Amino acid sequence: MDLCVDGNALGGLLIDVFGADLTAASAVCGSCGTSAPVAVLTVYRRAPGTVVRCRSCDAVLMVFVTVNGALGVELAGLAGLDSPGPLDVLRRCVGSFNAGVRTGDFSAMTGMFTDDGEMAFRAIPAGSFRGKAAIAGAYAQQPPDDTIRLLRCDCRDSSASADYAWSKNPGALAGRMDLAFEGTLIRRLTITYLRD
Amino acid sequence: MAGTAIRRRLSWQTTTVTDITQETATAVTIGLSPADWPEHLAGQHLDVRLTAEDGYQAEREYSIASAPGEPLAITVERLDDGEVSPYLTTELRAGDQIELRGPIGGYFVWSPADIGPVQLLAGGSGIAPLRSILRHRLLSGSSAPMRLLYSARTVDDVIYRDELASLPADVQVSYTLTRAQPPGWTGYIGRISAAMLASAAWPAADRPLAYVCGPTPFVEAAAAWLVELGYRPELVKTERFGGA
Repeated sequence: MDLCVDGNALGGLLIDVFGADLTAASAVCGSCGTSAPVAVLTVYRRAPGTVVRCRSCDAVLMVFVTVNGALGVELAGLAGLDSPGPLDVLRRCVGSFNAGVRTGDFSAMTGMFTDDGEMAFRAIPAGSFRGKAAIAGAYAQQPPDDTIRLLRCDCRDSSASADYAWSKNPGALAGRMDLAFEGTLIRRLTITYLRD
Repeated sequence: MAGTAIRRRLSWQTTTVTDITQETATAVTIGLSPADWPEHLAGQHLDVRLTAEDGYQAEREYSIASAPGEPLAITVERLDDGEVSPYLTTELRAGDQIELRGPIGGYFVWSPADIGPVQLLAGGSGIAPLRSILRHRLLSGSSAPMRLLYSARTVDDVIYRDELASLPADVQVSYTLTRAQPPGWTGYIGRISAAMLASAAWPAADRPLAYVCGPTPFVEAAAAWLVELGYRPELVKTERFGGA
């Protein structure tokens, strides 16, 4: 009988509680510190409530009980919930780049790199820039004149690759970005121009 | 994706059953036509709520078996000691009304934006969300390389048998039958194993993304073996639907 399932089944309940689908969010166990997507947590649904446990150490992370129509929520076992995935970092990177093109201020974009982060170009003689100051200098010297939009992206654990187009020619593949992440920061961004 | 969840209210709605297809002796596909339904993502599920005459309510999650953009459908397998599935598989008729809400889920989902190879592993009715992924791949024109290994008890328990047999040649489909095999069976035999995965699944060097769905023991075993074969744990997405 389906009494023991996993955190995918919490989707509807978490929308009830938080107003957002959190199945892909990371839950950090307050007992053993393991971080795992909510979707992989162990879920027991014997009446009258729902008990959510860490898949590594079995500690109780969340309890949901409905009493007289009111939903009671206990989250004391959780040390943390949610952290952005690679796709979010990639989207924020594109947003910061485009904001820089519009305003001339690339500080948000520069701030997305780690202290010794690197930005490199392939197929044009722009070279590579290491460190926030060098990256800021590159944007100041040769500011890009058009915003970009993503055509498709391939996000993996701590890296992402994305094909992009210039906004003035939004259907035409302009280049590819390969990003290596360190947490929510960019360790290395390689830009390969495919055409002018 | 984490952090990008869209805030919206998830309301129960009453919807009419459009059609019911008997897939196997114990599984049916139920066509649904909810009035308020944002397009779902391949791999997502919905919640079904049944209310008894005395007011007792039972809710269960069912994976969406249709592709985004197609008429909504779920596939339900009867669990003899279940609270909801016996009604859905034997009592429900086209034209009946049921309560549902969704679509739900941001983890066990596949998008054609991911162009890398995909390994699908299904145990029993765990094929349902993977069928949505396979249909979405086809309808979206994606060329993401996909392989499916499907574990069922007998050949008669294979859901979507004809559809899976007519997938394009670039989708490799393998079966393992755990309880009985028909004469001349050339597929795998027995429960899923590390050796079976080593021969039927993408090599880890291809950095495949894996979707594993089925009863809890199946998912636990299969996911552990994929990791042992070198699959990155973060890229092995799992969905367990009980059985333990």
